[in-house]
Amino acid sequence: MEKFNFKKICYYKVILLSLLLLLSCQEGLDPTSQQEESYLKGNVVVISGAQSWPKPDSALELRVVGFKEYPPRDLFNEIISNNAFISDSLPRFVDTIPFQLKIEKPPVEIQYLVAAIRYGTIFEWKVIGVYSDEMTFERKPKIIYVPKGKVLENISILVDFRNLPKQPF
Amino acid sequence: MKLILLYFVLFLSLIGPAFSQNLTGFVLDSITKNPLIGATVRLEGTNYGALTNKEGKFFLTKIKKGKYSLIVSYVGYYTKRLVVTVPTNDTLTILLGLRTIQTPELIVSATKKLQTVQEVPVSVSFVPSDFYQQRNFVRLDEALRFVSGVIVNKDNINIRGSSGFSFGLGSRVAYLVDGHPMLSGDNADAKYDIVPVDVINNIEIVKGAGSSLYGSSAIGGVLNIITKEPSDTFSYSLKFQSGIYTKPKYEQWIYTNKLTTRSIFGGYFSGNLNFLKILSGFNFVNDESYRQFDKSRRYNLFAKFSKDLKNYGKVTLFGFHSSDRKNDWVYWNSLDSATRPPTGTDLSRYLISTKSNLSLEHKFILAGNMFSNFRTSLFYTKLDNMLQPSNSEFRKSNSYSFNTEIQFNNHFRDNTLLSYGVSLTRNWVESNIYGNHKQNLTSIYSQIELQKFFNTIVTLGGRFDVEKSDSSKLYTEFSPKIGLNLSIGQYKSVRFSIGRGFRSPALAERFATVKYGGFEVVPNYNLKSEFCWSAELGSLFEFRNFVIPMVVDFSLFYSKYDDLIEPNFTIGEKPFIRFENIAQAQILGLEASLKTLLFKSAPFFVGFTWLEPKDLKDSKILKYRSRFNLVSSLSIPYKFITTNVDFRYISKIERLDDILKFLMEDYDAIVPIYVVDLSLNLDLTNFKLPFFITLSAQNLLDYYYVEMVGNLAPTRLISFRIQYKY
Repeated sequence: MEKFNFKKICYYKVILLSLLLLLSCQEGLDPTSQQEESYLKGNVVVISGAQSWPKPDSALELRVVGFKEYPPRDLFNEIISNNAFISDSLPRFVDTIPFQLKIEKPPVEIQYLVAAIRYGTIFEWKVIGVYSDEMTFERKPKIIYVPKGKVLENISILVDFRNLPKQPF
Repeated sequence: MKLILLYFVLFLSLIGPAFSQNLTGFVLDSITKNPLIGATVRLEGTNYGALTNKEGKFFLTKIKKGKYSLIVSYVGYYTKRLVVTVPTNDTLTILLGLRTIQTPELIVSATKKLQTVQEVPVSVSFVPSDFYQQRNFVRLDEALRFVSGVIVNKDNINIRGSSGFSFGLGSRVAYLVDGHPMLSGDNADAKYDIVPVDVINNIEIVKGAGSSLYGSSAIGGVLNIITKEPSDTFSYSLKFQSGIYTKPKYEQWIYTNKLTTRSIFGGYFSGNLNFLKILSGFNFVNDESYRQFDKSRRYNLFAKFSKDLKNYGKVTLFGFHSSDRKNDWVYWNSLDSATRPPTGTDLSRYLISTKSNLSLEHKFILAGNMFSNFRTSLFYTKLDNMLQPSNSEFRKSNSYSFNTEIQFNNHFRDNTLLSYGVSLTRNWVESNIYGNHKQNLTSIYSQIELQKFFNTIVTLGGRFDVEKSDSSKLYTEFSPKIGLNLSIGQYKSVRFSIGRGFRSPALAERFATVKYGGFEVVPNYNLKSEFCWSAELGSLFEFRNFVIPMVVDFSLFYSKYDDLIEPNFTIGEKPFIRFENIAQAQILGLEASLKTLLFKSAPFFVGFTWLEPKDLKDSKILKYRSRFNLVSSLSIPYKFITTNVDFRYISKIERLDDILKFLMEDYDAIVPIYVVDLSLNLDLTNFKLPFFITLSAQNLLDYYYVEMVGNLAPTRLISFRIQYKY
């Protein structure tokens, strides 16, 4: 049986410690490493004018939401099931609102891109505009294919508060 | 109050004749025969003992005739246990051998009595005071991050996966200071900045369910802060510490051109005023933070008085007051601006958090071999976000937690110790978010320990708790425990334990009525306790005469949790959040640690924990849990300089709550944690100067990570400390 060698054991331990230090050289969080994500950028345009917005207690916040499937079940569950992407809260009561929607893990097909307002709790949303070529009640949604690492710009979602689209949920 | 009166009635009726026997002796180094000053000499199972004086001499007075087990311990030396018969005319001479590896010798938290680590049936860890002193730590949780199997998630302490992330609500670890419970009355959360670090002697961490002795909250373990004993001779210390947060390497995270700092001024005083022994300490901390609008100012005051009442036992009174003013935001703006608060945050808002406590303990030898320990404490917390009551985001909460406990230890037949006691906890809260509510927990417990039973120490115990809050039902809990510790040779033992733990809901969980992130939180008067069964098989082997001396600890553990309390999102006509008993989980795990010496003089520690935490409802990994955790420390002493290198690794959290995406940006920006700390300690007493200097670099490699979602963890902090000690 090989006899224990004190020096040898110590060397092994120093190597182990060096390995631990090397492991620490991992980068960690990096705000510049998000090129794997893609973005949709554009404007929510209120064609009925800024004065047509509902009262503040009926439009608690505005967000743009992109659903992977159409029709969606409801906004809240699709978001937490990772079947939809949601923008930051956007300014309200104006007629043109720039937005940016981050799309994680592209390529992804967005089947239904909408602007929605929250009128109550976090579960209570109303679709006010759809990314579509038409302004009919049905407003057939336009599908957007989002490639990896791309920014798709100039997307307009038109909103007419006098002629809201059909509610999908 | 009734319990306090009952105690004094008992106390007066049970005072027997003053015992007249004395026991004296010397404690010396086994090789040099030099006296060991300040060595602890105790009668086992009694908490009754003495410290040696300058000649290494101890005096135990007023002892009843009989046979006792005497435990003698001293830092850096092996503990000795010997049987003595009182009366004796001999003056004892006890020789202690120098340890090569520093390991904890005596602990009190595992079985509520003083015991050697080799004898306890559960896993314990120990953080000595010099660990955080030598690293410029100012909060307890900074040191706890280096304990094997313990993960700190902002204000949550998670022992072996027992807790995820719950904004600090409802600690699953019983949190004690000198054995007194210190969980807040409203949130049942632990505050890790209540005691100045200079007055802490050590921290004991017991892993696994401990409700058979500690009742509610000890579902995942017990964390007991042991403060120093007031010394016989005068000593005092003053320290000044200042550090800078280095600038982050990403330009978008730099929010100021100035370097921000963390400064601390603190000290302690200890001495004997003849009629009273006193220990006091203070700390002022001004932290400018590594993040924008995240400043905090804090102060802690602590005082402890002890008095030997001769025939009437020993009384200890301690109290602390701590206040913290900090800016008020919860999550980052986004990963891209991780050092900034969310857009639209009101930068004038701040929180004031106050914590105060008064605790009393009376240890007494009653008739025969019966010993009592009476504890009572009041813990007050206040949180105020300083808004006008008319503001919808106004938050104010005053809470009180009053705890009283009487514990008796009864030794009989030389090898049997019976411990039993009664405890009462009363929590009450006055708050605009929780309402005005009260909660009572009344308990009785008992534990019998059979020693020398085929080389095994057998522990059997149980605790019965009754919990009642206003507007809720009465709930009862029974928490049994069995423990075995088999000695298989000198300094080698195998342990096994199985027991039950539970946690009663915090008043905040049961009665919260607040709007949070667009949700309405509603009360649940029927919320009941969560509970778990946990089992452990472990071993502790110390190899003194091996090629290299080493201590190896190994544990295999399993816990099954039921009725875990979690926030539940209910969608309906009126959507709401309500805390409910919804989760079932199991955790299988393994923990191994090694302590040894490198190059014959450099202490080295490595501890590894593996967990398999499973949500039994959906068979996925539990949320906010990591599977692997590794901690390591190396101390290299060279002449008057000691260098410490510490490393910790936590594997990436694999599952989060998807609901968080409504609350914050980049909630899923999570990475594994690899952090290295470095510190250099200069002991100038070698040059007859009473100063200690410490240079430290916390997060030396400036690794960026989060412990709590949406919160960048502290970036690199380089600190300098000078301490004067007399």
